[in-house]
Amino acid sequence: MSDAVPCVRAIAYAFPDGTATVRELAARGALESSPATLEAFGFGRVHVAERETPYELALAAASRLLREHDVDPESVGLLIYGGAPAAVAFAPASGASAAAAAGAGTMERFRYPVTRLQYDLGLGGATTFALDQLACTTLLGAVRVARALCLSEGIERALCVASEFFPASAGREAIFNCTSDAACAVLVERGGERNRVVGAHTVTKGYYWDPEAMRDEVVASYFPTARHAIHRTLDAAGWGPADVDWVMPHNVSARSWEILLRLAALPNARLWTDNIARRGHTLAGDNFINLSDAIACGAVTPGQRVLLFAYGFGAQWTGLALEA
Amino acid sequence: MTAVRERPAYLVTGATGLLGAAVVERLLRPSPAPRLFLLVRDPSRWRALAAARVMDVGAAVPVAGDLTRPGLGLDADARATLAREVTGVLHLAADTVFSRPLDESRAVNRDGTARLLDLADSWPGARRFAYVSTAFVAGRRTGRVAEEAADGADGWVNGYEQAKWEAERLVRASRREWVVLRPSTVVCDDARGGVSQPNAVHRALRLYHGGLAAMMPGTDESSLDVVTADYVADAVAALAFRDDLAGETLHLCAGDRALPLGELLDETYALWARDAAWRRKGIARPALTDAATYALFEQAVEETGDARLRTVTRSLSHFIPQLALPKRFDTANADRALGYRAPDPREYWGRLVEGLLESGWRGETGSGTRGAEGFIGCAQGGPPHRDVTTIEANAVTERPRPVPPASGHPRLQRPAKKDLFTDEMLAWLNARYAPPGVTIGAGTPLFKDRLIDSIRILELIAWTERATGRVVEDAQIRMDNFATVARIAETFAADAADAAPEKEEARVALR
Repeated sequence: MSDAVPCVRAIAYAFPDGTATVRELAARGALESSPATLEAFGFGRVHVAERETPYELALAAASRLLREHDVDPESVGLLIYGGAPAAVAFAPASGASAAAAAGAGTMERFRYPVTRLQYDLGLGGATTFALDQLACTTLLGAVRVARALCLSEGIERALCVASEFFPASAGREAIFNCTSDAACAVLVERGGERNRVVGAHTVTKGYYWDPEAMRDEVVASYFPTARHAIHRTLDAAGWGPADVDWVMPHNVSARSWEILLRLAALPNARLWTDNIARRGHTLAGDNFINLSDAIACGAVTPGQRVLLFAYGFGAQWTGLALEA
Repeated sequence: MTAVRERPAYLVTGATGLLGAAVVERLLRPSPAPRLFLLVRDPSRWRALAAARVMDVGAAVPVAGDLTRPGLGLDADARATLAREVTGVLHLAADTVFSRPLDESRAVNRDGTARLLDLADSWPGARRFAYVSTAFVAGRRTGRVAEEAADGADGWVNGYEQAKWEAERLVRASRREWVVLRPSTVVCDDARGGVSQPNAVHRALRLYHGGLAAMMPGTDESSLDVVTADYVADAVAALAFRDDLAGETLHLCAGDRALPLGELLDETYALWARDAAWRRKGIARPALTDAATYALFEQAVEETGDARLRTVTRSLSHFIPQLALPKRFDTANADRALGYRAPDPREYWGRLVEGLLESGWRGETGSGTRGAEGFIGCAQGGPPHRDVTTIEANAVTERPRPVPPASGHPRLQRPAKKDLFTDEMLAWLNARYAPPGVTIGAGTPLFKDRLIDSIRILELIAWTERATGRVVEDAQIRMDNFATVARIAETFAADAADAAPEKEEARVALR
C-alpha cells in the first residue's frame, strides 16, 4: 500500500507586490515592538498588499501550481480553501474593514471564495469546503484533512489553498512576529515518490482560545506543548528524533525556534530560516513556502525526512512529517 | 533541682522564625531545660509568638538586638549578662531572600555571623557555636556533596548561597568549638504535609499549576531535596550542643531519598489532574531542559514577555537553576548522629500538594506567626517590622522583583491621576476578576473577599506599574497597601497625581 500514501506533489505561492522593511513599518506605526527587537528576532522585510485582494492571490497561487506542474484541473477531486473569509476575500487590503462591515448581514456572505476558485480554476470534478479558525496552521490542517480524505474516499488529487491578509489598519505584528500577506497552494496526491506525508499530529487546547487575554499563558504553554506535538508527529511517522533532517518552520521569531529545537532534541535536524528575514511570517502557509524554496534551491534532497510544524492562535499545535 | 547557674545557657538567634520558634520549643522540653536567651529585634514579637504557640513566655529571655548593628546593638546590661551567662550559641537567623544582591545578602548572613562570632569570642563560657547553614552552600556543584567544608569552586546560583558559604568559612575559622548543620529545602511543617509558611517552592508550584510557568531546568533524574520543618527543628535541637559533634558538618537532608524531578512532576500533575476543571485546561507538564536552554527562554521572556510573565520568570530564576545542577547530599553523619533519617518525601509530597490546593494556595494557619496570607503575608519579607534575625531555613521568602512597564504595551504616558487610576483599575478588575453578580468597588476588600490571591497580586502590581510608570518598591508591597482599590490609588497614584498634568490624554486603555 506504500504507493497509496498521499504526498505533497506540488507547491506554489503568491505574494503581493508591495514590500516594507520593519523600519519602514515602524515609521508607519504598524508595529508594536521596536524595529530593533524584530530585527533581533530575524525579521527584515515583509510583503504588504494594497491593491490586491486575498482572492486574487489565492487564484494566482493555485493557477501557478496547476500551470507549472502541468496538472489537469479536471483531475482534482477536492478543493479545500482556508484563510480570509468571504466578507473580505474579494476586497483589497485597504478596504478590508469596510468590506467586512458591509458584508456581515447580507447576501455578500454567501459569495464564497472556495466555489469561485473551483469555477475560475476549472476544477469541475472537485467538491469543495473551507477551513476556518486554524490561524497559522490552516494549510497544515487542510493538508491533514486532504490526506485523510485521499485515503478514506479514494480521492486522487486534492488542492489546498490558503490566503491570508492582515487588514491595513491592523498593523503588521502579531506578538513579536512580523507578518506578510500571502497565498499558498498545495497539491496533495495519492501515491507518488516525493514528499510523502507519513505522519501528522495536532494538539488543540481551547483553554487558550482568547490569545489576548491569555497572552502569558499562551507563551508559557507554547514550548512544552510544541515539543509534545512534535514528538507525537514523529511517533506517527515511526521516526526517532535523530531521523529528522530538516525542520520547515512557521516563520516566527528565530529565538523561539532556537529554544524549541533545543527542547525537542532533534540532533540531526537543520532549520530552514532563509525566509524569516526576507518574507516574514505568513498566516497562509510558511511551512510549505519554505519547503518549496528549500527544494528549489537543492537544500532538501530526495529521501530526506522533513518535519513541518506550526502553532496557530486558538490554539493549535500541528506537525506534519514528510519524506522528501 | 538543678541550680540555675549549673544549667547551660544558650543564645539563640532567629527565634521568631517558624523554624527558630520550633527549635526553641524543643530546647525547652527537657527538664531541667537549658536557659535560653533569644536575640530578637523586637522582644514583644517574641512574647506574642510564644503566647500564640502556647509556650511559657517566661521560659526564655528575649534580648533586643540586631545582627546588622555593631555589637549586635546590645545595650550594656544585655552585653554583660550574655558575657557572664552564655555557654553556647545557636545561630539560626538568616536573610533567605534568594533574589537579594550579594552585598545585601551578606549584611545579615555573613556580616551578622561575623559580629556574633566576635561577640561570642569575648564570652569566656561560650564554648560551642552551632551554625545553621544551608545544604546549598554547595552552589553549582553537581554529584555527591559530602558533609564537609565546601570549596566554593563551582560558584553559586544566588547571593544567598554564597553569603551562607562565606559565613560557614567564618564559623569554621573561629576559635570556638563549632558544629555546622545544613538543612536542604523546608517544604512543609511535618510529614502530614501541612504548610504554615508558604515559600518559594509553593509559589513556584502555584505558577506551574496556573499555567504561567511551563519550562523547568533539569532532567527526570535531577532530584529535589526537601525536608519537613519538624525534622529540621528536631535535628537542630538535638545536635546543636552535643559534645561529640564538635567540628562536624551534618546534612539535614532527604539525601538519597530525595525525589527525582520526573517522579515529583508526575505525582504533582497527576494530583492536579484529579480536578476535572483543571484537567480541561490542558496545562502542559513543564518541559525539562538544560540550563542553557532555560536561560534562552528567560532571555526571550525578558525581550518579549508581558510584565506579568517577566515577573513570574524572574521570581523563579533565583533558585530554579539549582534543578539543572543535580546533586545528592550525603547524610551519613547526620543519620548516624540522630539515629534516624529525614522523612521520605514520598510519604508527604502528595499530601503537601493536596493541602495547597485545598487551602487555595494559602497553606495552613499553623503554629507559625504568619504565612496564612500567602504572598503578601510572608513573601514580601514578613510583617511590616521584619525581623532580620528570623530564619526560615531555606523556606525562602522570595518575591518577584517589580519591573518597569513592558515595552510595546499600552501604558499611561505620564503619572496617573488618582481618580482616573481608580476608575481604570476598577474597570480592569471587574472585567478580569469579578465573579458573576459581583461588582468590585473602590472600597471592596480585595484579599478578604478572595478576589486577589498570590498570583493575581502579580498582575495587580504589574498593572499598577504600567499605570503609574513607576516601579513598586519592595517595601511598598504589603497587604495593607493593596487591601482595596482606594488604598492602592492612595498609595501609588496619589503623589503621582500631583505631578500629572490634568489632561485627558493620560487615559489609555489598559488591559
